[in-house]
Amino acid sequence: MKPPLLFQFIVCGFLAILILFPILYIVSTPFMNNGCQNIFELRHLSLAKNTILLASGTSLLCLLIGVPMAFMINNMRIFIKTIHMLFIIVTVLIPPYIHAIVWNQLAGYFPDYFSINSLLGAIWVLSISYFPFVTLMSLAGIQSIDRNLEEAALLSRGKCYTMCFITFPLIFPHVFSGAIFVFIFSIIDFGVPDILRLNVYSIEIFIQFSAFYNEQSAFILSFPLIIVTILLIVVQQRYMKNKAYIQNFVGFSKTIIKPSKSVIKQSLVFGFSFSIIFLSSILPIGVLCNGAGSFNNYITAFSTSVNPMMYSFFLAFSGALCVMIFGFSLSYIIERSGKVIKNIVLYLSMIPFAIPSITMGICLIGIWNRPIIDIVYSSAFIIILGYIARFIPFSVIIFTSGLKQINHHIEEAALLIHPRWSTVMSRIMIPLLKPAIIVCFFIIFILSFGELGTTLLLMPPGTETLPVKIFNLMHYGAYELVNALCLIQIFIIFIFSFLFLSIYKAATKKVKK
Amino acid sequence: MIKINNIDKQFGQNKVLNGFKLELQKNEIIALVGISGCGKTTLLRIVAGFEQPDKGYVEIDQKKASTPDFMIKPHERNISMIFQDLALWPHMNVEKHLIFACKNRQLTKTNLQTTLSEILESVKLSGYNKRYPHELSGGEKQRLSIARALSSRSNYLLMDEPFSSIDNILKDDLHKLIIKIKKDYHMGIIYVTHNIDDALHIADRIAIIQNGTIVQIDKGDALLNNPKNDFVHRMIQGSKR
Repeated sequence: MKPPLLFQFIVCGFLAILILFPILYIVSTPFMNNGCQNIFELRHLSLAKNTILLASGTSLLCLLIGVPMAFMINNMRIFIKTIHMLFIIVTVLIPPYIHAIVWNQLAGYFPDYFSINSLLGAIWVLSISYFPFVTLMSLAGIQSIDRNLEEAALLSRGKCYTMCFITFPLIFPHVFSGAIFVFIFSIIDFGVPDILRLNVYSIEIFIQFSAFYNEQSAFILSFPLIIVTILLIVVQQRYMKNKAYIQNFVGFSKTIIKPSKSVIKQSLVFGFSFSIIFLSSILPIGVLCNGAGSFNNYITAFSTSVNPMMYSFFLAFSGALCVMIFGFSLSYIIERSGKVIKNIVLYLSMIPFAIPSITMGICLIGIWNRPIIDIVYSSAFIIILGYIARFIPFSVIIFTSGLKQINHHIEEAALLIHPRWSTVMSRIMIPLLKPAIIVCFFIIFILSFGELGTTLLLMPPGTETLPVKIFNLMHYGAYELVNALCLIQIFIIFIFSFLFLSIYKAATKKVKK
Repeated sequence: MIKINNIDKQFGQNKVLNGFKLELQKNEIIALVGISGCGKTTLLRIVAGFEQPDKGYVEIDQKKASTPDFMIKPHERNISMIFQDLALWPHMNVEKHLIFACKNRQLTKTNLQTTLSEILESVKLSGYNKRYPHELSGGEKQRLSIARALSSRSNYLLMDEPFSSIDNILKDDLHKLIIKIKKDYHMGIIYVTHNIDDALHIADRIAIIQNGTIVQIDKGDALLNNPKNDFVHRMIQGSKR
């Protein structure tokens, strides 16, 4: 059953305005007014080297940490497993730039042994922030393995062979996808390199725009990142064809890799997993608590940041709502339309992954900062447009996964009774997709709440979000307030996570019933 | 011979096998027939070495293979298995499936190729070497799972309702193939099914299972003529013979 033409027309229209138009703007601007001349300099080679090394190093380290963690968590007893999962989620909820702030302070205690303002330092900080993506994806892969596939191999070969030739190839698409996501997030990250003073493309793009107001140069510098990222997305999409990104992590997987009974091995496993959890979630919060100083600093930080907090909440809520509705509409077209439209809409909605946040900000300023449509540029609407353009791929991934699990026949059976498509949508599809709707809203809300790169450029005068306030205070050297605000931000994110988790549990219960 | 002696197996509060006893000779097919959840699959998993019995033991060729304290690894048991969902490896083509299963036999390259050709010939899959499971029809997938089981040249074959979802004509062909394999390879086969007609068609002896234990084991005709109790009578009632 194909979606109604009017619906397709409206959604594709929005797609053209919100995604296609910015892409075309980024691609075409450098070629206007002889903008391509004298743009490439020799020092860009060093930028490219740093950027590629940062992204590859981070992906590699995330694999080294994330994959063993996934196997360890999978084999843990349910209570310890739940605690580990909780800390992994805590790590995800702490934005990378807060990790950078923490490690920047930590490095100050050991200046002779540890230089965080280096490529290796940035790789370490990004890895400790992003390894949960590899862990969660690998865990999804491990849990999706059919036990029979491994057992069939065990009848002919030993455990090691079975792991090498059956288990690992089967989870490879998930592990590979996790690594690609980490690569993409690292290559376009702005906050961490900026705090750790590492010269990479995203920083140079920001400098070109904010210091020299050279929009064309900024866009041209984005091209290598965009091309590499698009190629990786295409490979990733092919690998993950029809595979779920997330599984239900309740219970035990049936993989053959079982926990060792040896006390020494068990201690090593526990030591490794605890160290990672300590470094990625307990230590950052501890350092922030220590750095925030007295309780008065929290009160000062809170009382001076009520407006940024409310504004962040408003933007994150509105952004999440818009991204969710638009993402659902796009996913419905992707899942229920013919191959050509499906592929065009799918790849177009994935491209924003490839655009660095700073570039997206510059692009939106270029498009909307015009006399007639100035109302958009001078209001919060421009930031919401930025969130839509940046986070739409997440929404599409979540909803296409959800829609894949709903059999076409369910919809068709309803259409036989209710000929109105909108009735079938509201009474059958949306209730069935309730868990995906909540997950999508939650993820986009959290991402928007902590967003820095795009917001930094698009912020209308006289307004401020919490991350932007933290960023500004940090550059003024107000470290106690920065620490207190980081903790307040993490606390707010935790509260919302808890709230969403409760709603999600209630919603999934109803859907299962 | 596989000797299953007095096996008990419990999952939580649910006792799946209760003093189960069975002996399987080489060159014999025993069909295990019972309703869903009666413990047929669990028994196969214990024999294959994937589950450990709570009580009793499994002996394979006069060697203890599974006891409550000790387990021989699955690949050291000289057993093959055909799973209900076939468990074909999606990332391997037909040839790689067989090579993976053959490798324990340490064949030379030439011998390996000859063996592969023979096995593929015997299951009528010659020329399919480079095809992946998703490129095979339902019947071809079944044949591939049989070919994989044959590749390791085991003495025993466990079949867990492998033909439950295919049409009668194809099923008939595959039954003939299994009987031929038993003769050619002198294999002992345990064939699990809930369909009494399949059992009558293929098996030398049929064991009817109720509540985790065998209530009657006999040749097909004897079972049809002298059902031991009402449960056995109801199990064989629908038979077309």
